[in-house]
Amino acid sequence: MPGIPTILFADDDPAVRETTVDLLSLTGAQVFAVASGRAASQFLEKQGVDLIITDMAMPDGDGNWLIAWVRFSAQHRRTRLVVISAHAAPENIAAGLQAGADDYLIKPFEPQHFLTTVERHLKVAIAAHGNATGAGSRSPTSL
Amino acid sequence: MDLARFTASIRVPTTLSARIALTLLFTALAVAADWFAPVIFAGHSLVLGVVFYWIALRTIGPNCALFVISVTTLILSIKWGQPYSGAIIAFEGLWVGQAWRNRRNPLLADLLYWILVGTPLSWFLYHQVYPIPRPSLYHALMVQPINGLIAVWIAYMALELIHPSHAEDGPAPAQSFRVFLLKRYVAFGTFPVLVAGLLAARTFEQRVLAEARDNLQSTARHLAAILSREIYLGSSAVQLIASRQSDDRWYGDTPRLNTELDSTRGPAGPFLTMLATDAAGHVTAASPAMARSSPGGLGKGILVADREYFKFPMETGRPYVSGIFRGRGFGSDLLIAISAPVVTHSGERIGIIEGSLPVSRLDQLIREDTPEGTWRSLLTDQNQRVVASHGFEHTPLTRLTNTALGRLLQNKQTVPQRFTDDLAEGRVSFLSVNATLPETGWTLTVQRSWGDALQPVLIAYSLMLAVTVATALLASVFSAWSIRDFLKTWHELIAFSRTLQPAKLATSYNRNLPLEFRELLQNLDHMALRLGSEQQQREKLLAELESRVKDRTRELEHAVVRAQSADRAKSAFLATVSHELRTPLTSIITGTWLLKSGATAKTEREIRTLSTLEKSSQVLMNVISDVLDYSKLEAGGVTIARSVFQPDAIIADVVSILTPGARAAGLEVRIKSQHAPGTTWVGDQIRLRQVLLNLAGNSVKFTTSGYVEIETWIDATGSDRRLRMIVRDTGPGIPADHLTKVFEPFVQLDTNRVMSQGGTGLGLSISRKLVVMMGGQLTLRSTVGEGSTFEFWLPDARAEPTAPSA
Repeated sequence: MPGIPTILFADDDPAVRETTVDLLSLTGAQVFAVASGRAASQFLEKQGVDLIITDMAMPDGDGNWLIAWVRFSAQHRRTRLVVISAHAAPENIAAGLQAGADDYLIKPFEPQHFLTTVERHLKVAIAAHGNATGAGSRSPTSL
Repeated sequence: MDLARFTASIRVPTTLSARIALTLLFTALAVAADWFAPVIFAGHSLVLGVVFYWIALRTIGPNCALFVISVTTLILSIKWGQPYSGAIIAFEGLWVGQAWRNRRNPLLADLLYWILVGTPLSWFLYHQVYPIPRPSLYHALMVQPINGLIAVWIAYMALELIHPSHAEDGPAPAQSFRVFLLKRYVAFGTFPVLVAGLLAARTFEQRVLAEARDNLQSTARHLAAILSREIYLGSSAVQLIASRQSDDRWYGDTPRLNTELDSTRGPAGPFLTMLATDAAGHVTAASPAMARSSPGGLGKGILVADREYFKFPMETGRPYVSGIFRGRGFGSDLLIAISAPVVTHSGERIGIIEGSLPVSRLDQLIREDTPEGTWRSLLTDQNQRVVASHGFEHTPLTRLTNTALGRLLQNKQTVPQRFTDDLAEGRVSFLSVNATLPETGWTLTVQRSWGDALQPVLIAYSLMLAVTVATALLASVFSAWSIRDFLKTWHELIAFSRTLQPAKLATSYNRNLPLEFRELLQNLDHMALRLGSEQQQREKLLAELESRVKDRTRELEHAVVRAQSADRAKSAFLATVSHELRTPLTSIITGTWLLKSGATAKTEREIRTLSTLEKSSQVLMNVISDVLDYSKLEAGGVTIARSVFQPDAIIADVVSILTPGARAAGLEVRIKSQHAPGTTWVGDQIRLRQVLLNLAGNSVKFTTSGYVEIETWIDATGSDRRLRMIVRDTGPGIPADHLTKVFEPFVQLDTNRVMSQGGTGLGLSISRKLVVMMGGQLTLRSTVGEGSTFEFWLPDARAEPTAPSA
């Protein structure tokens, strides 16, 4: 196995974070979860991932901030980024996509559909760049 | 004067024969009128001509009228020798007629005509066709145009009278009241004066002419008598001598006869010479003595048998007066020979006695007895040779045969008549009369200048014209004066009607205005005052109203601001509620799904519970999003975006979402796209997707068997392009009385199925609102038991600036 795909997931809601990490684990990827955009950026400074999934509304560095940070950073600007947000208005979706997200899913999402989307993005990311991270990276959350 | 309407009113006979007949009739009338018209000066025939032309123009049209007047003019000119009067009318008529037709200014047309056409034409007519001396430049350039102008003016006035501009059909051209009144005054005032003046002058003319004729005739008789007496005396003297020679014994005695002739002739006698002959025509005696002795004179034995003064008495036995001849011998004077036969007692003619009367004697008499001034007289012998004259250019002995004067003499006309002579200064008319001298058969012609004889008539006509012009002027002045007060008042009224400013009319009361005017002014003034007070009231009311409106506007502005801030608060609240509801739901749905799909073994009851949980959370999510969407639509917080997209892609997306559920229910989802693959559209793709998902999802939800079909095409048949979509199903259908009800929020036909299918009943309501917001329309047709058809269209948003594709 050339390496397990890695996903960084940022969401401030602990319940969502918990269930979503469980769901993402079903893809077989290694999932790192953080509670804010700032935390995500700190994580990324240490380690790259194959896919970033982020909530929009977070204290201390929200989704938009994180998208901007990723798109302006030298190492991660090519990393695929999917937004999951409870902001369902079309203007929010448009704003997120315009800021640089590769996809925008509305909470609550249909779990199967979510998984399919994530797997698709992972496949594209790996096909493009190879595995971004080594296995055995430190997980900030213990599951 | 409306020229166009006048021209249009001309009714010309259509058939050619009628036109020819009418034209000939008019020509005959015109010739007759001209022949008998007393043409004194151009002005007279001018009036007739213009009136006549006008009638002709109305009856037979311009071209035929021109023909009539041209013929008439020629005859008129030849008869009266007035080079201009007729031609003026003829070509005036033509030109004015044309000017009318072309709606040009007739006065200007007239002047142009005389400069360009009239003068050369006159020259040609009277110099080439009817040769007389060329008209003077002054006459051509000054007199004719003035005559023409008078003609046009008269025609103008006549038309103003006969064809007033205020006809019933159509609006009259605007003219000021002053002009209107002026025309009426001048036209009405001038014409009776003109007609009366013409009649009076005509009567006067007849009388003056009769007097002039009497005068001429008596003068001629008197002069003829004087001349006759002179010849008669000469003849008597000759006859007396002849009668004394009846004894032929004495007649042969030449010396005695010489003495007798000398004594008869005498130093102051009428005869220049006398002679006596024998029966063979030899001179036997002569007087004076000088004639007897001079060579070539009347010496004894000279033969005169070939002379008429010998032959006539010898053959007829009657005395004889010869015509004029130039005498032989000394003096070579112009002479008249008077002779008588010498008859014996037995009746034998044995010779003649002759006396030569010098013509200078008659010349002197004519000169003395012809009246002064423009009179002239002419004595001609039986051979039409001039004997003596006064005022004529002809010298004695001139033969007048085959001249105008000769023809006049041949007529032996003894009643005064008009005679036109070609003189060096042009054609001159005379009043002429002949008288015959009884002894000789000679003719005495006495003439007087026509113009001189009718001088008083000329003055009368001039007076008539002057009075007419004065009347016109007076009428103008009077009309202007009489309407002065009215005009002032009217102008005030006009100003009043413009401004409606009251109390300005009060000044008019003082004027010496008619009763009706005064009442009108007072009423208007009252009206103005009333208007003024009403205006004040109105203004007060308006001011009040305005302040009220201002207050209301201010209140409304406040209300709008309040409502806007409330709206903003509502939107923010909705967004927050949405976010806060969605976030926990995410965990519930995901957790349930994880539990359900987990590998751990579960009891049937656990599985059922998980399914219920899953379904309920799904319903809850739908309810939340529908309620939020609806609230947002109601609050007006939804904006419509614009971008370029492919409708087919949207449909495919929607179908891909619905297909799994539909397939599970045994339904087929079809796509029927009628436009070319890759066709793009401009609009709000997210809203379109939402509408389509709502409608198709609704159909899938309620259809138990059959299919759901989405049809789309771009309709460009109308004035603008439309994207049309139809969602058709084979579901239970909707009763007709519920067709509108289903679009109301929270309405579902089968409430039992709400829970089983999930849904709030808000989908259709939201869809319709969205379609309307995008500028389109959503309709529903349905038959119970067969299915429902939702159809909607969206307008093309290309015209507006397109937002970048999201």
